[in-house]
Amino acid sequence: MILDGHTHLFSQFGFLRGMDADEFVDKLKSRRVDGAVVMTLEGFTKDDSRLYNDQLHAATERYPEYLCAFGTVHPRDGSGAISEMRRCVKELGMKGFKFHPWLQAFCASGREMFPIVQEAVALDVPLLFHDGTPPYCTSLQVAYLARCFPEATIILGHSGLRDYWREALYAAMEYENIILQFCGTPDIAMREMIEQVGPERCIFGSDFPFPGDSCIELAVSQIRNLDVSDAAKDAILGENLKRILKL
Amino acid sequence: MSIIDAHCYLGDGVYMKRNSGDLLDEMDSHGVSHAVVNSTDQYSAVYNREGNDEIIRAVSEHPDRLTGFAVVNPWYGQKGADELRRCIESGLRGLSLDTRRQGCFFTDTIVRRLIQHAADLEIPVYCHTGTPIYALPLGLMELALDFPKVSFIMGSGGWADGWYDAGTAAKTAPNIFIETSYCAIPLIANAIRLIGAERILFGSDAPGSSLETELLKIRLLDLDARGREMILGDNAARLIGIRT
Ligand SMILES: [Zn+2]
Repeated sequence: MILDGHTHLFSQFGFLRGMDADEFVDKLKSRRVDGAVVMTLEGFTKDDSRLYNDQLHAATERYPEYLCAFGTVHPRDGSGAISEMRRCVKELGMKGFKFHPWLQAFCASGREMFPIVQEAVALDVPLLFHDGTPPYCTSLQVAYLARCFPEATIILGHSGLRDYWREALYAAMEYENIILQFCGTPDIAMREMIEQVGPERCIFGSDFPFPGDSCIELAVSQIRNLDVSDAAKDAILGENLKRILKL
Repeated sequence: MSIIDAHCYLGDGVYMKRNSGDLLDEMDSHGVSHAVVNSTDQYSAVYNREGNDEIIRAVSEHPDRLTGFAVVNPWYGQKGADELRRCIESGLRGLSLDTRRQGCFFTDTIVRRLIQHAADLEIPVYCHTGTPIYALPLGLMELALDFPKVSFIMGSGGWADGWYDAGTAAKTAPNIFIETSYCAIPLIANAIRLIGAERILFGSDAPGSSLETELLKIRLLDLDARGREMILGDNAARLIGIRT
């Protein structure tokens, strides 16, 4: 079973052409993905996150067995952000939230995130962050939230990318409420993380379709080629996410 | 077709470890005929000579399979320049800079002085890029514009956090080549559109990434056979002077 824990559904983003939900699901299925978490991309740079949360909701309504959504809000919207989080989870059935601090122009470790994390704890959903990019979302800036809120589940959406993976690894060793997502993560980092943190806190994501339609083959093969047990690979490719999202 | 890995590591780094036996095995099992190697970690930061000696030994043992680049920390000044000359006289073929580990901007005087020596020696210069604050594409672009006769290899094409400037830098400075390790497939495709396949080099950065992952990326690229040959080997052979 392959569950892709990191995909973006959008129509147009800069020079990137997105796709509609039908094409999106077709392409994932043709690459033997059994289900996916969808997130916005356009919504990170536009004021009205409601609009983009509604778009995601329309896609999950169309493919309820296949897709689940992580919504987004702008942390500086204050109480508006909190009420939108409640709407996303309670009315739209979303399973978590995604933040992209550098696109959304806030600092992951900033005070405006505190009520957001508290609300996520109350709603019992995880928060996924783009990480590995200074100066707003280095892995330790995101991990600071995990430190301040041990009850929160914080997903490092790229496990540090190329430059911060050792910080991401350090953070995961230090804070047990951190989940490492293998998505654009170097091979050497995956090996170290599985060995030191254990496969049960590692999950798979492709960032489809941002790194190209074929990014799923590449991301899956990176995990399949790891020198770990098949059980560990299966956990990373799907079972862990299923457990975390209570699917 | 002969595949050249234009950039990977060899030696006993604190984080990056690979001996020449494992390297040659990996090359064999992926059909890679030749690899360009340099040392990293503590060797590129401080123990340049020890690292370079290991590379010199490896390439003299396997001259048909390996080509070596020297690591020199620009902060060593004249001592570093002397080390570079020693390495080239001992058979290494280029300079590899890792300003992320060495702590200097591409545009710093100490770097420019070292590059002048590389220019005098007529060798190509590999530069790690993608890491703020010290290793970003536009810094390399400025350096390359000032040394138009030196060929610069933009390591990892600016990935991760300099990708948006990688194409711009290489388009502006015609003496920049882009090496593909870690780069997302659409970014490689974009670089090909901007500067042509003739200035793109396949590299693995192994053991950071791997031949498996990096070769699969090139296979997944939408590219004609000639372009693929150029990226996988011909360009590196020409630029670095590798006979395969
Ligand atoms: Zn993403």
